[in-house]
Amino acid sequence: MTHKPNGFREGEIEARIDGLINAWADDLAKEANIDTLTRNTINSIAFLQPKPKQKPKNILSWLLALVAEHPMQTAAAAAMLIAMVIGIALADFSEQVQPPAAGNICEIENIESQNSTAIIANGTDSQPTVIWIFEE
Amino acid sequence: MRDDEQSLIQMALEGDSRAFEQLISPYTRQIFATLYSMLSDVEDAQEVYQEVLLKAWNNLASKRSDGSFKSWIMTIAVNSAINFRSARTRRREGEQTAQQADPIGMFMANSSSAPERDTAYKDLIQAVNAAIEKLSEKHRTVLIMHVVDGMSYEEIAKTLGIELGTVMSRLHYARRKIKLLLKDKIEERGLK
Repeated sequence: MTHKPNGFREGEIEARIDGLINAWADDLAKEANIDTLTRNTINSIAFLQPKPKQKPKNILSWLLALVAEHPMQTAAAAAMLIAMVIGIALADFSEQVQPPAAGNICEIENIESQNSTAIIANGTDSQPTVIWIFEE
Repeated sequence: MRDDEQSLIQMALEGDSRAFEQLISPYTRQIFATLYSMLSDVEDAQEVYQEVLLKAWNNLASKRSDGSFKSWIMTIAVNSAINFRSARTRRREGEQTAQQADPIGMFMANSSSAPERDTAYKDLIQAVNAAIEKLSEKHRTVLIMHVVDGMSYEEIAKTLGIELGTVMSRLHYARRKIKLLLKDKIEERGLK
């Protein structure tokens, strides 16, 4: 065991300082009434919310929990979703240009209009076969 | 995680608030010391402490069974303190305070003295308090987490979201400074 010139053994000052810091933390917790604060807070939480929130086991139970917790919001969201599906199903897309078929090799590049982007399928710049233009 | 902690979590999830209290009780002092080291204000630390308990209760179900409960609760505490501090900074922006606040010193001055505590001991605790106050918040937090909370370097790094080397460096400088500040006090009081 080595001794420093001040008479302390190696590491003894550090150990004493750690002890003092712990004593300080004890003092702090005592002065702040942490035990009472803990008990009162837990009592209040348990009174307001008797059980912690439960983790849903699967998507179905999660949905059921969501409906149970927010019935009005989920009903409104479901109604909007149904309306969107009906709207899409009834929409007339016959007059609209269809995008290139899946699997075609496409290139994306700017055409004459600066604010437009085109997808050209099955062709080159000079002889495009299908052009899908996005207006910005 | 310890088996008894796992069973206490299970009991708490079924609504047993006493089990939750038992689960928390070994860490209350550590949580509070860490919050205080980050906020430097007893009332703020008490407010955030209550928030930590509420968050822990609400999110107990999402606690991973293989993870350490201590790390989990300390992460909640650190994140809550960071959020609170940001909100407090915004709140205080624009406020002109004529006097420099010394919350730690004020706390020590206002604290009631226990009759059994002798003056020398009280002086020493105040010296520790003053020394801790002189550390930067980052150094102070790492020191408290390591010394008071008993957290490993890895646990601190994970909780604070910093590199392991940064933890070691901060702890080194914090220890060096506090040693300089307290060494004379220990020797002067002949406590060796």
